[in-house]
Amino acid sequence: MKFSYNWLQDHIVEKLPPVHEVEDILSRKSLEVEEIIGDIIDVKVLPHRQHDAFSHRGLARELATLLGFAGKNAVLSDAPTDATVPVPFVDIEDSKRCPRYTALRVDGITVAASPAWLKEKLESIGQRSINNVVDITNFIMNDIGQPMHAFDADKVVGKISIRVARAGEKMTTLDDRELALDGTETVIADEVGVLALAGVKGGKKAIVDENTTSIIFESANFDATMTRKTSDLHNIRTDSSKRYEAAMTSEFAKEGIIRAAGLIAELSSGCRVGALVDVYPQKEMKYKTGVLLTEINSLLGVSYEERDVTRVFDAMNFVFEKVVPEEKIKSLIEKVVGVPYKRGASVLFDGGTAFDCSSLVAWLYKEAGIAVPRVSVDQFVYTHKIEKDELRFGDLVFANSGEGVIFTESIEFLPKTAVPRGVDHVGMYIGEGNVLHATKVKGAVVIESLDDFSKSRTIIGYGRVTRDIREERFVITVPFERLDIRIKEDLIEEVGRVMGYDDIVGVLPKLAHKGIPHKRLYYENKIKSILFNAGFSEIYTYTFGDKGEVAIVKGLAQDKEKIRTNLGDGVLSALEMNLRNAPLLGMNTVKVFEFGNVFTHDREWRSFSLGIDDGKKKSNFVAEVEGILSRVGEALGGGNVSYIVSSTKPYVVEVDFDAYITALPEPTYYEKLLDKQVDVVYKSVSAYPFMLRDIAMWAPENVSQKDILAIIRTEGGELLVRANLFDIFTKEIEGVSKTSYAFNLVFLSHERTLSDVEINEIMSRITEKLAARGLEVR
Amino acid sequence: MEETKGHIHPITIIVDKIAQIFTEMGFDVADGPELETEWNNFDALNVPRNHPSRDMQDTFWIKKEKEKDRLGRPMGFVLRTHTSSVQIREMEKWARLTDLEKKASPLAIVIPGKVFRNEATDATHEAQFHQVEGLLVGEGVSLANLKAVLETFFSKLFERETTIRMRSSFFPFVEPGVEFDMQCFKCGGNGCNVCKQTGWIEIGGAGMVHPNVLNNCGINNRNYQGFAFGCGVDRLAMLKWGIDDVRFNYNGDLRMVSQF
Repeated sequence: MKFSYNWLQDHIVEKLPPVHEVEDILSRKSLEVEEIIGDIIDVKVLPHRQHDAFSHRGLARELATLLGFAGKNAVLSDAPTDATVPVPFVDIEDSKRCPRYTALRVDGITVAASPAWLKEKLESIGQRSINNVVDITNFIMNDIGQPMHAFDADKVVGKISIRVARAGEKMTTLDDRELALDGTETVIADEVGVLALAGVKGGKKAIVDENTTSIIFESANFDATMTRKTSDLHNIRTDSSKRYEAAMTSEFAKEGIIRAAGLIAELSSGCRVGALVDVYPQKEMKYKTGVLLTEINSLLGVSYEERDVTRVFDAMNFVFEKVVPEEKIKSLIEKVVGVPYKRGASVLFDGGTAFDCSSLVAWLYKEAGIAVPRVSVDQFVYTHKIEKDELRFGDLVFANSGEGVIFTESIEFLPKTAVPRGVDHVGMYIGEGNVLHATKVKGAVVIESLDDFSKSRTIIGYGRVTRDIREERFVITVPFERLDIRIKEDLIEEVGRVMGYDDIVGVLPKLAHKGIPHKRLYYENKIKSILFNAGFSEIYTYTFGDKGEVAIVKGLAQDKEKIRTNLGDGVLSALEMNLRNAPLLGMNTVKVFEFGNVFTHDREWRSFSLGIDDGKKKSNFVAEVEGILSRVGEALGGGNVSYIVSSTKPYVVEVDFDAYITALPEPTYYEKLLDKQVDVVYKSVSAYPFMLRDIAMWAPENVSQKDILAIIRTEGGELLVRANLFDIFTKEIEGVSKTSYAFNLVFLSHERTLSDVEINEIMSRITEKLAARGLEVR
Repeated sequence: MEETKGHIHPITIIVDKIAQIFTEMGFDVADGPELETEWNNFDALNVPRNHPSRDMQDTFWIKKEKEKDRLGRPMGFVLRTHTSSVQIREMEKWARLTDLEKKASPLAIVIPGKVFRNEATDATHEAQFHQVEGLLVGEGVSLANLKAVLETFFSKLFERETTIRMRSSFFPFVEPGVEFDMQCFKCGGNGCNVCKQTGWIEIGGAGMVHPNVLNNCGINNRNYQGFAFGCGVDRLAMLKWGIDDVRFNYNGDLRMVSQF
């Protein structure tokens, strides 16, 4: 997302350092900056921060934290409401799809161009200015991260409902796309039809245009998964859907709409702002999570002190306490005794007002900054097993009531861990022989003696949640918009990145013994070594092509949607291609091999294939290949290597490598393939064709092959890339011993296709210089 | 002129070096299938369905009837987008050891292998390429361990003392998550054309294994923690030797391979 440096500055008290310093600190400790153009910073906001950093205020807060600055908190001025403005009637059908919907009507507006400051702000980050109403919604979204929408109130008929679409329902989008809804989408609708695809795209039905005089602002939250599914289904991605799909807090909705109302009052003088409608069935509650200093230091491998951590949490504006869990839980006991029992109570929403047996345990520990699983059977698996005589404050007592649903295996923590005796009830030992528990039997949270607790239940065991119940820990109340902070590792990351990873000193782990390669690698190396010594070159080819049993749903191209069943086809093509380049490669015979996976419907296995050809009809490589494979059989000790012939000319064979090595012993050490360092200065492969010329000559005795090559290379220059001697013989002519040399010359340019004229010229020069040296070119 | 010895592919040369360096440090070299389940490639790795995290990797899905995963959900098949799927398989195996065995033998593996991404190809992007990933799970494994392992690896691979720097980032399967750069092996950090004058070369992603991932594999995340890292092998070869077009790694053209 593009951010304006100046707009970010609006949200921070202290003056920001220059842009490149802002870029540096963001990229190292927070989010990657992809590009800076002038004072526009393009930041890559990854999914974990899409909830809060997709806005100028969000990123500004992040920057303030990293720089140790203070964020500015905007003062919301409530625009005076006018009672003559009708209040929209809003109904949410399913609060899971729409956790909060706020609406506000404004009458007597004039839709017009936005003032310069607003236009500039939007255009600076690549947004188009449309009109004052739409621009306000866009501004709020880019400023605080709350997507908003505006409907023309006069085009809305009756009550606004947020409901599921009906299959077959139709909608025309703002940009004139006709959509047929399939009944899975959340829509905003009035009594006549669909007004918008919730969180994704507005409809034309209630579009705000130059004739609009009354608007209804929408500022809401929509379920992330539903938004994304709808967005994918109809292939519509908008700034709005991008924010909802990663999930966001409902807590900005009211602020967004109040500010929008304030802005329209400013921009369209004389308009009348109606009362706010806020449908918010279940108010969000803040999460609490905790961490020990030792846990931070252990995961990061550092030795931070308490004050380092408090400094970071302060800089992040986290509300936090230092808590001794035992003391905290003790202090909560009197608050929970008598609280009603509710089966399936939510730890987050019902905590403090209703509990079931395991939610009570989870809540008490959560308040103390320790996360335990939600369900009693998981809590049983999670805790350290202790004996009855070891019981002390905070330990859990697990029981099987013998009635109702009894769990015999864990659900989320180490799923399917067996608990054969079954657990369905849990209480907390609080000392002096007493147990605190939320019981269905008494309909509330009570304190009972352990003896009474055990009377009507079978005790399954006792478990200790943590050995550190007396150790002070940090307990953080997570800000609403930080959906990425839920577990202690999230807190550890915040500390680690703000402190900075640069100063972490590496410590090599001490591992007891040398590592062992997997079987394929060990035996492949042996074969590759034999092939390499026999003059073969290794290739890798494509796994997908136009032939195969297993297919890809949507490949890169139509001829790349099948997965190969063999390597032989690829090796054959490679042989043919390389043969054409043989002169350039300086090879008479091309020998290649490949190791790779091939696939049929039932099986995936490692295969290897080798191919040889020299382009001559009469050549027969069967014996050579058999010789190589027998050497392979000897070196690996697996006996005869059976192979299939994929092609007879060029000669290509293939071996089921996995089948061959099945019976071979597992390796016990790694044997390296190559001994020496490979120092190569790679030369780019030319995109242009090479040209060939032959030159043959008689040489007198005093001229050596070396001399001849020196002349050829000097005159040939840069364009001559190879001079291959292909024929040499000595003869007596008229009593003088002469040697005939014949060379195959390869010319190649990296910049252009060479012309005959050009090469002929070079050949003349070569001929000339050779003649001058006493050679007879023929 | 006739060739006597042949040529080993630069990818194989790098993988050989990786295997040498890491087995020396105590890491096994592991392997696994290229055609994977959605569970091993995504769900087990804490990459949720219907979430922007899935956008981070473009995937080739296989035309095959979905099966049920262990949670009873429909599970598809893919060409693996990373070798992390092998980490899942190895973690599940290691999870079955007793605590005594786990403490005696932390899980230490590297996985070089072919991976697939549904992306348009050009000189620096291919739809199939090679990655190498590493994993260490045991008691008290830390980010400091990760840093030292990476520094040792790159120093040995590029044959000079090399430092690593880590920048805050995000991957669903690690927390904290980082991207790491190596000090430019050509200029040693002074700035040159290889490192685009910055002194650093972006080379991979890493972090501490997310507790959900450990839990998904049956490993008790109260007792064990680990680090994981990944980087592109083709990229390493291109950096080390100056190969300028990744497509030459897979078109079988000896004009590239015969230079090695």
